[in-house]
Amino acid sequence: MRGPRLAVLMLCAMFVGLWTAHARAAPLEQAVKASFLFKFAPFVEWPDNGAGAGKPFTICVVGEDPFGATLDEVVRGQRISGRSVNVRRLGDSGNAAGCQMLFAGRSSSAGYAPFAAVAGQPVLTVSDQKSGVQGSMIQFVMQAGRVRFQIDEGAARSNGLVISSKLLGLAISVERK
Amino acid sequence: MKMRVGSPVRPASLKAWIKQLMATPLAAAIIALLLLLAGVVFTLQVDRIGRTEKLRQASVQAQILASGIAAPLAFGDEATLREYLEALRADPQIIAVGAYDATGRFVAGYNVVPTRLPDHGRLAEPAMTARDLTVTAAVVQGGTRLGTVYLRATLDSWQRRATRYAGLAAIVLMASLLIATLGASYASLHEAHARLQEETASRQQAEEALRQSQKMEALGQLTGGVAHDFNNLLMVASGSLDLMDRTDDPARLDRLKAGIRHAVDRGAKLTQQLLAFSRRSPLKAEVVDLGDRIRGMDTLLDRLTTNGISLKTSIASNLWPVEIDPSELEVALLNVVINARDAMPQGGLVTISAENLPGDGGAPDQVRIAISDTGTGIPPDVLDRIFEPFFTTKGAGHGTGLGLSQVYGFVRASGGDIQVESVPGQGTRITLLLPRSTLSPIRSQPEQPVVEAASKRRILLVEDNDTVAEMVGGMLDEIGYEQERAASGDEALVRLEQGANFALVLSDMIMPGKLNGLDLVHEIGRRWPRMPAVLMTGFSEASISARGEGIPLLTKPFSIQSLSAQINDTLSRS
Ligand SMILES: Nc1ncnc2c1ncn2[C@@H]1O[C@H](COP(=O)(O)OP(=O)(O)O)[C@@H](O)[C@H]1O
Ligand SMILES: [Mg+2]
Repeated sequence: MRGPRLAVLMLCAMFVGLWTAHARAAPLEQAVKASFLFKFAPFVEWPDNGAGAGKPFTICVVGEDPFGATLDEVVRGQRISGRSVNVRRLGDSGNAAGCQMLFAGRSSSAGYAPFAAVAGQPVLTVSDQKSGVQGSMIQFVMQAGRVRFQIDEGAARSNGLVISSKLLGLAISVERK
Repeated sequence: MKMRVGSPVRPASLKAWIKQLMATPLAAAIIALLLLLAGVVFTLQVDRIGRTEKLRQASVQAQILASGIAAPLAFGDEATLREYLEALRADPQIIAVGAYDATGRFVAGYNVVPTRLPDHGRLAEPAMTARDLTVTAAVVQGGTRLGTVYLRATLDSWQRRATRYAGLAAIVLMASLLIATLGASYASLHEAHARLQEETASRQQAEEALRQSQKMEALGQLTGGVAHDFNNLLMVASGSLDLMDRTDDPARLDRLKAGIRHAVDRGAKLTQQLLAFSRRSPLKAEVVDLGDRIRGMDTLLDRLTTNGISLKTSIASNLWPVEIDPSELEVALLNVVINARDAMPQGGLVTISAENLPGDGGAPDQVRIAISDTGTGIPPDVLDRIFEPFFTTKGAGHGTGLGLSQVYGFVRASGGDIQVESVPGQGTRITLLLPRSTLSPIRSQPEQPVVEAASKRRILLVEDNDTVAEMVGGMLDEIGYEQERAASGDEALVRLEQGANFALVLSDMIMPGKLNGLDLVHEIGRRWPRMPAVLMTGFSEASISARGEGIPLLTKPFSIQSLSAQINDTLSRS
């Protein structure tokens, strides 16, 4: 098999699942999440898609980055609607301008409100239930040792994003409001 | 049917050619073969279309699957993925399905042994083998390739497809066989028909020849008398002329003139009847008045009444019309009367009678002609043989035995009957019964008066014989036309070119020079199409063709009455 290391990781993630109790630092779980993060994009429609043509599709990570190099590896050489994919790390309070997707990791800084800056803007916000960050459109959840997600479809819609019913069908819960 | 060599293929002969072609067993075999071939081509075509359709179906199935499994494949939801794939198991023809992720790694799928799934998923062109087909589809979402789908389906086996087309094949085969059989039988029928036609034609020819020889035979019986009669007529004419030179008594002159007139009339009539009688004519039934016909034969029948034989005719008035061939009737009557004459070497009486015989008790109306003689009679032992061809009691050189067989043939062909009554030593009566026709007869024209010329018009008379020219010229003067004579067809053309104002051309048929009468009429028709022309002719083949072309014709000798009527007719028609 000539696939990259990632493929090996994913194979493990899918067939074996994550069953370690102390999953927090489990590299497999993070690898799956990184892969999912990238794969959300095809199932979401951004408004005025044509405007961003030519510019790279940007996935931003705010707060603590749980993925590390894994995410860079996932997006390497990939394209979303013909655009190359770029990962930007904003730190605790970076400028989220130009991001199409914003993942918020945990943060120790006081008054941490990662999504405030993009409220009302067509940016797909993602977070992890474990990190305690609230208010994202898509949230990773662990279920029976597998990485799953729940979706706040109402929030996405009010920000001008359309999430494919295929993706909604796979979510463990959908908030429609 | 034969094609004429050298002539272009006209539609009619093309049709004939096709018909001839159709009539060969080879053509039938070719048609049957073509039908078979068409059946095979059609089947292959339907099969090919069926397979292409199958391929399209499989492609669509793969595409639907690819679209459905996009999310489960992307997010590793194997349970959902399997659900999608298992749904395809309902289709027994799908023998392998696989889902592969973006890197080509196998994720899920199933296969029916012995079919195997490829280890690695990649897009490929649809492929079709004799037994199965393979299609692939990309799993694409939002422009991003998420994986591929692989689908393999069986095609119907060769045997299964063959059974599907077996019905069609049977029908085509049967149709081919039918065509071949029909073609063969049609060909043999056609051949038999052609042979039959040939036979009929040659038999008709033989019958035609027989009839003609029967006529000539009857005529032969007359010739001696005819020559004798002509001598008498000439004797009367020349004698009267001699006497006319020696007398000035107008009353006597008138009587002599009338005598000549009478002799010439009789001669002309006799010649007419002989010519008409001996003419070769196809068997042709006409509706006729028997009385007219029998009366019209008087001069011929008179030839037979020599040596103490007298002839009496009693014809009832208002005879019903009958439909017969007039010339055959004449031959038949002559044959019977000749037999009567032969039966009375010491002289006697021949009676010809004709009357209506109304049918009763469902029997049809008939006209009866009875010919009785006071001759030797027919002995009972030969009575039922007399109608046999070649049966004669008259000895070699005298009888042919064909006379009564002709009479019998004529009567049967006319739908009639014949009866013989004979008392040896007392005489014989032959009765012809002919069925009444519901049509009315074509009347012969009654004698017309001279039609005087309506105005002084010029007629160009073309005639080489001076005497005839003088005579006809005199007639024209008498009727009231101006006339100018040309001695030949060539001379006539010169006169016409000079433009003398002629109203009509009256021309003889046979003339010296380049043009005969018919040629002249043709030439006139070409150059002066409005100029009417009348031909004068004795009986000849040429006159038949002139009549066929519709050219007005005067048969020599003609009377001043018929000349005036013909000219008046022709002028008023043009
Ligand atoms: N009117 C008649 N009287 C006596 N015998 C006749 C009469 N008509 C016909 N026959 C007999 O019938 C035979 C056949 O006649 P036909 O067929 O005309 O042949 P042909 O006259 O040449 O002998 C004659 O030979 C004759 O014996
Ligand atoms: Mg005879």
